[in-house]
Amino acid sequence: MVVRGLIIALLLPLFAEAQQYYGTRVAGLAVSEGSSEVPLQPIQSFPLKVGDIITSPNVRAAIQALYDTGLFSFIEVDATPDDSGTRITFRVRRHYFFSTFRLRPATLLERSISTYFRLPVGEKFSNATVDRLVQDTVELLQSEGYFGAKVSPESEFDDRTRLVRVTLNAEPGPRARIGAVRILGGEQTFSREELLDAFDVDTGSVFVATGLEQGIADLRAKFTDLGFLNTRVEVQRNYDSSANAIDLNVSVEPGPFTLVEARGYDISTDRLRELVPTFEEGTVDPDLVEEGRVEIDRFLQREGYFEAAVRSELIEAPFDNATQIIYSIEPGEQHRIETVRIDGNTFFSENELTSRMQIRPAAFLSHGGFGTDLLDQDVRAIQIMYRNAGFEGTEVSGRFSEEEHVINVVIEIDEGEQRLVSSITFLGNTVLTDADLRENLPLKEGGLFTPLVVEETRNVLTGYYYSKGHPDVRIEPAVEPPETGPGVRVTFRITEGNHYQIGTILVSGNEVTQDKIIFRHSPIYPNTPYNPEDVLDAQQRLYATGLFARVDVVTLDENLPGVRNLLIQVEESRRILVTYGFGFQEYEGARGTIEVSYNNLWGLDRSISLRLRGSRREQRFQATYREPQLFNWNLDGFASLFIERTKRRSFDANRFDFSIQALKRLSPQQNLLFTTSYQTVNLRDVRDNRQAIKIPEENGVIQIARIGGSLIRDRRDDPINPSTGSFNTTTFQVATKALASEVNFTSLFNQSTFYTPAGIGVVAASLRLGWNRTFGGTERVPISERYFAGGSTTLRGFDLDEAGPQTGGNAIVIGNAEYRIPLTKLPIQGIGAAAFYDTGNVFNKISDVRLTGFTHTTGFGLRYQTPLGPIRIDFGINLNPQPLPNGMREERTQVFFTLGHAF
Amino acid sequence: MSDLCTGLKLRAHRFLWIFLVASALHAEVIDRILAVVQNRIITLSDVRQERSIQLALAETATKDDAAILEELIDIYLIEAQIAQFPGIEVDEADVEAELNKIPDRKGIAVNDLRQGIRRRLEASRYFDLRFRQFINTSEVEIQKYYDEVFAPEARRRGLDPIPPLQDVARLATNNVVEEKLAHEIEIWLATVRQGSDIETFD
Repeated sequence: MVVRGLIIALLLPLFAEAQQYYGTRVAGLAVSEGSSEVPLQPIQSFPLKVGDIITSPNVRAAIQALYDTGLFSFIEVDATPDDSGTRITFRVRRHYFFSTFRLRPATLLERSISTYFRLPVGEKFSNATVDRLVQDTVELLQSEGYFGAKVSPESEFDDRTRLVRVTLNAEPGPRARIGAVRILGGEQTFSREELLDAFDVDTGSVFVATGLEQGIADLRAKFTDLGFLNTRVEVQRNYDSSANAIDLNVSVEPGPFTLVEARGYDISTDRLRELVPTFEEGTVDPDLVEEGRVEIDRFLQREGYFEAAVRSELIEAPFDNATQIIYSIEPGEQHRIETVRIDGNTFFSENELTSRMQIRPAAFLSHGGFGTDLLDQDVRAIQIMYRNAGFEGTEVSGRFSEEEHVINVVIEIDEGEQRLVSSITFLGNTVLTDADLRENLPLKEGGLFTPLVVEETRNVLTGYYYSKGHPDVRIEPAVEPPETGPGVRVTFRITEGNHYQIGTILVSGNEVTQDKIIFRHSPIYPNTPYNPEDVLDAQQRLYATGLFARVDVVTLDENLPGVRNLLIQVEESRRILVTYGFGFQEYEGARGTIEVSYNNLWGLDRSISLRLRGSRREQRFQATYREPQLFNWNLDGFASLFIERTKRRSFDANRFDFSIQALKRLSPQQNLLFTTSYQTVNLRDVRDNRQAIKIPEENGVIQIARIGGSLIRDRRDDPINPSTGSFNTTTFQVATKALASEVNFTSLFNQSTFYTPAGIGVVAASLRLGWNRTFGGTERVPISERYFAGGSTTLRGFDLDEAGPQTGGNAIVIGNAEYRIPLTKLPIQGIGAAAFYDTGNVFNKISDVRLTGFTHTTGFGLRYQTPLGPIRIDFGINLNPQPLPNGMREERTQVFFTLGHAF
Repeated sequence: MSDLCTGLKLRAHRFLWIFLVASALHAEVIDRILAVVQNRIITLSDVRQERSIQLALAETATKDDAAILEELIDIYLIEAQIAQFPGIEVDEADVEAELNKIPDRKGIAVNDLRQGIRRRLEASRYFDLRFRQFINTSEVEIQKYYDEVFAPEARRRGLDPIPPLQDVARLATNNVVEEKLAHEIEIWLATVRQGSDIETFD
């Protein structure tokens, strides 16, 4: 009986609702995650404390308070009866964060999905986000022709890092094909076959959305090219799931026929199409017509018609579905700008001012540039230059005079006064003192005031705060006149924002690359101030390794006070790369190269590459192994082996070379290279002159072991087609018997090249100096190591290796100067011309070097720009051809056809 | 035999005792997050409160927690939209007037009821501005409603004679408008849901 009663009493709680705990007192509070207890976060005014009466509102408020910390994605409140009341346990689940996203199969799309849409890397995980990604992926696959695609997500949770890797498993189904293609409209202008040909989307071909867009664009362009602007092309797609085919109904509405005429001055049809943007835009509207008028006016200005008047007229004939645009031109007299003189300037040089002006004196193939509106614009531009340089009261005026179609322009400048900074004040700073902020600022009290320097100073101050871990800092400069006296007062109003430290740094997405390689290349460290510039630098350095196709360095979407945990999410690049190329050089003829490289060996950024290059005169095989951290030092190491067969004018050689190199990057533009190499050269068929008289003692196998170093400085803006900067390389090598070499000699070589813009072109100048010297009983430097000159990259008045002694020399001096200009007036883009002067020679020994021994070549050439560099044809004229031993004279002219600049 | 039976009984009682004591000491969930809508949480207590408010306001029949949760999600989404739409204001006098109409508050706190009423009035104002003012009805639609809905219902309820259309035109028009409004809201809400961040927890 007693037992029965006890059972009933004990059963009662099972059937009571949770409300039984409301009204009881809190006997204990805990927060737990899984089986481990989490310290109760120090939340200000937590709504529930030990001893409180439990109510539904305060439990609800406690859940809200915990959720508002941003740490937890889920919270559940458990109640357990206790002797003194009720124990409350908050069971929480922390947020997880998205890291890596993969689509399987990986080869389904041409590119990674991260290039198609934004992925929420570093954001809080939610099923809703995954569902959205699945939807986006399905739509993407459908646009690629996979209309039956199904995508199922798979999320892998890492409890240690709280990162989630999402794999989107796609079942794409068969790719749809194009069904029937029907084109309606446009038959009055083109036949159906011509329209289908232009659309170029054929029945039975695989459906690709980009191909369809291109077809629409090509069809529209076909009508636009003929003058039918505003042509509309729309495609209706009908998907037949049973056949997995898409029928396309293309409707074409040709726009009105547009005729563009220039009257009063002859402008070619092609030039008119370039100037009037209606053709490029494919539509006619008054704004585009006006833009065309302005462009024609500018064109006439460049031709020297500075007083040209251009009027436009748009005539619409709706019944004929036609539009006519007439540009009526009164060119006026053709003029020439003789001089542009600037008076009164001291702060800015004439070059600095004229480089910003649109008015120009006449030059080669140019009448100059002038117009009264251009003169006004130049006056304003110069005023702005002075204002930006901190001048006050600057007055600039322009006037011109004209006599017999020759115009002279004078710009007169009264510079005014430069303002000085009377005081610099900081407001709102607490983390950094005024003294800290003033250190190394571009703006100085008593110094010159310019808006540019104020902006530079703002950037420096922002950088200070970033380095201290204040990524949200805002700095607003204010410039006011002082209360008394001249000059300006500059005040920087600072809103410092919160301070953040970097917490943990997580890495994800690397399936091959070891974490340490990623950390090595990213200069961000835990427990250091969070600096957004460092984060960006890390991203750029990781990209620069070439190991990754994509790098994201993101802050995890947590709400931790004072801490930012970072995630480095990478997508690795393909490890095996095959590259190939073709070239041409006048002596070698056609040349082909193929290279296979295997990168990121063992995930340690090591690589091995095999290269094969061949032409009718040279065949070479090269294998190179790269070690990025040689002996754990900050040195790139290379071990290289090559086997080469070469036929030069004066000798043939088979070469086997093994070398070890260490590259130290001193700066982004400066590298130091140490080399040690062992080479076996089999010299054959050494010839002294063109009659192929051989020198027997030169033939045979020679072993050369050497050690050396090179300093390379590259400050060019573009290594393929530079317009400014310089390139300098100095190499010193010693071949010595101490290294098992058969010959002893030193070799010193320097090449310095400079580029500078000049007028409409670029002036390039180069100087090459080389000196070989034997020692220790060696009589002659092997012919394979001597200097040769002549050819498309050295002295262009000579064929390859024809300058200087026929068996080469031990000293070389080559100087080149070239002026390269673009020929913009030609109908074909990318064509340029050059005029050059080459001088110098090869000498038997350094003591033979004298100016009287220099050759002199002049010449000119044409270039055509390609993405691989300019295709070049050069005509060189030897100004002082010398008599040859055979009684003939050196040839006077040479022609070279090759790829790449001479230097 | 009787010793065996007694022994078994004692063992069974012992196990039952242990089971009951353990059950009594087992923690019970008294509240939890059920959903997160655009970073706003909906808890079990919110669902219970909403159920109580609906009962007090005599809104439709009993629904399970899942149905009320879905309705709360909709309410939160609507409130997020209202926050971006200026000019939706509810007069406190209107709230009080609705409050005073409630015959039995069923023990719900007055402020909770006020909040529930305010929500409903705001949503109603929003839908009036956003949708209702653009809804038109045609005579064809009203006739159709009369023929297919009103008349059969009147017949079912035994009304004789069935009132002619002109007597109930206003009522019919209102009902057609309400139907159209409900349809617009349904489509709109589906679109809003699709673009919103909603997470539910089982």
